[in-house]
Amino acid sequence: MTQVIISPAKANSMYWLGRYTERVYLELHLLRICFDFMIDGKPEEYNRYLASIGNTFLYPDLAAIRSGLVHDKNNPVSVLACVEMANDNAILLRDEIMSPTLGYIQMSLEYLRHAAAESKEPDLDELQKLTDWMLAFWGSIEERVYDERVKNFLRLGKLIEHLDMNIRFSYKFYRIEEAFTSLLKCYDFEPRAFSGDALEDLKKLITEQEYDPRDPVYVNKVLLLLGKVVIL
Amino acid sequence: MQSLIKNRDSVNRWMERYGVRFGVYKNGVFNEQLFPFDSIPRIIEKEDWKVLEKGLIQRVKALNAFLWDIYHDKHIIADGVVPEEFVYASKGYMPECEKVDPTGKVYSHISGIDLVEGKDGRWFILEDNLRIPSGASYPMIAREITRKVSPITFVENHVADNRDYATILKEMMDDMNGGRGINVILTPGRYNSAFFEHSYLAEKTGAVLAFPGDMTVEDDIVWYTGLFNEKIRVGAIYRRISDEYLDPLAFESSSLLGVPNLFQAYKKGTVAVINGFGNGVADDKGIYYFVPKMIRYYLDEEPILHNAPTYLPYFKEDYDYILENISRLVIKDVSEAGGYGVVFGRDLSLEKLSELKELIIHQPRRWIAQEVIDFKDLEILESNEKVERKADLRAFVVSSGKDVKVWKSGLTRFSRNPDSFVVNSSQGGGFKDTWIMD
Amino acid sequence: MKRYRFTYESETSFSAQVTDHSFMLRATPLDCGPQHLLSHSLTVSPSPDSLSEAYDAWGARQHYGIVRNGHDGFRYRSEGIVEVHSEPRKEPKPSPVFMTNTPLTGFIPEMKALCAEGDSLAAAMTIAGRVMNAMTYLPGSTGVSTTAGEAFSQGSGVCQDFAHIMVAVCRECGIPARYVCGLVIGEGETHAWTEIWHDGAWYGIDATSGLRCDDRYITMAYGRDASDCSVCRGMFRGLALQRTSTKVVVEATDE
Repeated sequence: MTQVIISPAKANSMYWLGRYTERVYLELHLLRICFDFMIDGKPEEYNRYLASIGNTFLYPDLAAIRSGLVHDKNNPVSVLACVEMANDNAILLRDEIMSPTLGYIQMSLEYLRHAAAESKEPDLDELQKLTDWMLAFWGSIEERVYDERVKNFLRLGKLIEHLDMNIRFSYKFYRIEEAFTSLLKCYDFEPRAFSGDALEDLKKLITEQEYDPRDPVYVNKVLLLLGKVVIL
Repeated sequence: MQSLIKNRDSVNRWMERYGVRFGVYKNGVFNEQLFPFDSIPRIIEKEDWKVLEKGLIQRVKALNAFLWDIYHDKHIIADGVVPEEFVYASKGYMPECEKVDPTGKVYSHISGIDLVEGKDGRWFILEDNLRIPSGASYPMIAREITRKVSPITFVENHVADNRDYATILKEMMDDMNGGRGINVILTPGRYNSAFFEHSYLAEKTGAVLAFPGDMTVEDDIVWYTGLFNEKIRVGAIYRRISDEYLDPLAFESSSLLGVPNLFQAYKKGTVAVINGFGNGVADDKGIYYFVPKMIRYYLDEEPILHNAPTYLPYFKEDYDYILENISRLVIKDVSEAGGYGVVFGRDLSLEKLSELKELIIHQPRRWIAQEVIDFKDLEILESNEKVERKADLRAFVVSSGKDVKVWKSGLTRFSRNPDSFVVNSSQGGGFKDTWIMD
Repeated sequence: MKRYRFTYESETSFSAQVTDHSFMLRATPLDCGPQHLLSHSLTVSPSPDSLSEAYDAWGARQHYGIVRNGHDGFRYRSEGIVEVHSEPRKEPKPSPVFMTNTPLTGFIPEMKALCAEGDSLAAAMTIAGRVMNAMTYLPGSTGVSTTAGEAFSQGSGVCQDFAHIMVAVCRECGIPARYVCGLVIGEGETHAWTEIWHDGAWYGIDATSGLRCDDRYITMAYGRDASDCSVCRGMFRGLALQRTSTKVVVEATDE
């Protein structure tokens, strides 16, 4: 099997495809929690959720928040916007990831575009399809892509996004540590994809002692470094 | 009937899933549209195909010989078969290509020859597309999907397998490449109307999908820039960017799509460019008239396939005939492509007709006129009913240095509009599978 | 016959570093027909990763290559000694491409008044005089992509525009004509004029002066229009504004 030839632009697309698909998957998971808060109508709970995910859009009522977080393509944190971004990268990579893999992103996009066009209230039951398709996307990568570098760049994006979201939502340290250890394995595989300085800084901050997801200064510092550590 | 509807709907659903689309700009906004598939195939019997295949190979061989001749010794002009103004006044003629020898002497590697079938079963050539003919990917993927959603169809019908297009393409690219480097498919980018096709062909042939900026030229060698400044030599470029935008240092300087100094490397023969530079001179609507003459001239054979009866206002006899019969002819502007600049005399008011006559009198070289062919209509499904519509066939002919092959399939496009004779996909319409019976 | 020492020097500065800078230069006088290049050298800096040579479709010499590493300036210098004879450039039959106008040399109906008939050399001289009278030489009033029609409509332009209009009108009148780019004695920039074909040879005519060209005109390139004769083209990676200054010196010499 000959090695796949990757341009810098394609490696960049792989990284972002990994990030956005992971983001879609995690957002759907977290949205279920947020919608659950809304049932009990505790504004401080779901306001914290909106702040953590970085929502800056104002919506008049709960129904508008719910549909905005899923269907508002102008809101960069909405599920639709993230699927659009995943698709913008995936479509450039058809020859690396193969049409059937791209299909899972295309189906997700079509589903959400239709739902948004019909201004449907997001249906958590139906949205399970998207969760399944995101998992199928990663399964399809595993099944169809043999080039380790391609997998590594996708995985890099996935891990960065995973760390980013888990820190935003104050996950326990062991979850962060697991993902960070995997990230370091990616570094061993292809150190040239990393900013050595940013990685050293991250190593100092991602320790049990330092970890403080409730401190906005800490969180901002780590999120900023996560955004800089991969240079593709 | 029920199964046709079911097949149509499932195939279209799968095509949507695989992102089989083409982009269109409408009022400056980019939109990706589906290209609707119709499940009633066009069927071509084995015996008929044998004739078509032979005729297409013959035609493409003559066209390649013409291109070589035009850019080298120009015997065909000296011998008075083609008037020189038809060659040099053509927008597609590129003086830069004079005396340049493309790899294997091949200019048109992938030729898209458009045909229509008359009511009497005779085929006519509508036009030759020798620059960057598109559309093969749609029947490729549609067949693959149909085999999956309805295997029984192909158990019951003995249809030639058409899943070899990628192999034919790859073998041709490998032959042109000659082991000098990698094969790439060069796309203008995702906002090009045929981007799906570019990426799908890359997936299927294993060629690298290259974007503008991915390649540079150093010492007359084309290099693909890999990760971390890795330099990988390119041996063959299947480019989907037209000549004028392909090298900003040789042609249109404002182009951001090209590979700077690619033309110099091409001139030195270090890389195959598929299709070659300068092919526009041979698929010009005006040169079309002369293709049967080329076949006799270069191959010493009688043309197997016929042109639609065509008149050139350039010749006195034809000029008189056109002005006399304009109201029942179809008039084409030779400088326009893709269904644009095609006018049916019978659709015009008297006033418009005389305006058109004026144009022809003023610029006779710019126009050709053809008899309207009585197309054989094909059945399509309109909602859940069978109706008849105009359709054409684009056959794909692949030429390497070794051989010329016709893909046992093709793109059958039809018009949705019952009154329209124009079946170009950029003007609406759909496509169907083309079955060559085994 | 005259001999000249010429120097063509150009310097481009970029507002930021650029990389993978490909270039193509057409800055060398022709060495054929009534013109002989007695000596020539060309230098490019920063030192390019490749520097190759070729001839364009009409026989002009091209130097091209690439500078890969980051740089914020690009310079080249073409110099040598050229001998020029005052005789037309012989060619038994002109290429028909010089009989068809291009987008840059598009003829517009308003130019009809410039047309002339009869013996093609005499007619072309009449046309040149009419172009000169109809146009005002005004630097800065047009750009590199200004068409003959645009320049003619505004009534002003530079040598490129005069030559384009001259070419447009000649071709419309059935006289084969081509655009020429080259150097003239003194200091300044490149100059542009026209060659028309008459009875087995190409004759240079300068529409800015309305006169026939002689051994004071050094030809670097000719073609269908100015875009066939670009002295320098480049393409690079990076976001940068660029500013180019060019200096041409041509002096008579006995060497």
